[in-house]
Amino acid sequence: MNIHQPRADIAETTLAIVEELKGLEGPLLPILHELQEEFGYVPQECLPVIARELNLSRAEVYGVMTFYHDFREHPAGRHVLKLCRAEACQSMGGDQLAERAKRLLGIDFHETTPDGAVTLEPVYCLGLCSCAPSAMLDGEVHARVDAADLEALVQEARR
Amino acid sequence: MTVKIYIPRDAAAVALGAEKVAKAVAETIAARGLDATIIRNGSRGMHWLEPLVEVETAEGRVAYGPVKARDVGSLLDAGLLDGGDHALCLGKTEEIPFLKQQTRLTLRAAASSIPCRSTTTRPMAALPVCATPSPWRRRRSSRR
Repeated sequence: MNIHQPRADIAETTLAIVEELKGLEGPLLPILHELQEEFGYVPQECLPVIARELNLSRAEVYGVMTFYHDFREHPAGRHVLKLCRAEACQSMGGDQLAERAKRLLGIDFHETTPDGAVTLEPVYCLGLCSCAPSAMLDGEVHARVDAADLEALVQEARR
Repeated sequence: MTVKIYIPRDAAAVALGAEKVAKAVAETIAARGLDATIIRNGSRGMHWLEPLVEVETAEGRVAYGPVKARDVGSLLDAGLLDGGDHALCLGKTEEIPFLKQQTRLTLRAAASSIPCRSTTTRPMAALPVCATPSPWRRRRSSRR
């Protein structure tokens, strides 16, 4: 089940956002951010519109969008749980934490639970190395995450 | 006089529960009718002690940490507003060895007040960024 209904106004909305931001210096990233804010992901249909309006090739727009893993090609679950997988967090038990999260949710990284509640993602990195391991649930950061904290986060996300 | 309680709101402190601590402090001082105000400052960089709660006393700031929301009641019972003793009390902030052994120039103001208040940093702006030029800078200038 997917909670996001495909919207009919994607091309129209994209055009309005591009029009608003194309005057900026380096407008592509702000446009992609705004689209993701609007739709929850960056729909494929947006890319040709952006390319045409910014006079870029589609490949270039696609290349930028896929370079930054924060931009989604598909809608996420209602909640997004990101686990920091960089060096400091790995050295502080991040591997076990990641395995535990996968087991608790029954999914792997980049997947969404069948009920559409939680998407699990790796992230490099949250910059909280001094209080590793860290995680982010829907934009809220959590540090020194232990097994109990992780379970609380998963439970919160499941709700 | 209204007592100032400092609770950081930088990302590390927040990730370690500073929002919950601030909420608990606000609710508890309101419920007990205490004359105190909360100031959300920056971190002093001692992340292992975050959330680091500080209280302004006549002798200077007294630090407590790491504080969890559930500690707030017992901290106020122990006389937090007067810098009272508690298992989490770290004594005067400036006397904590990590801080005491440092010479802070640009970061001196970091945790002293509200980060976005311009008057906090303005008097500090006149300080030299670096007392002696870094080797990298020296090398660069000698090459010219």
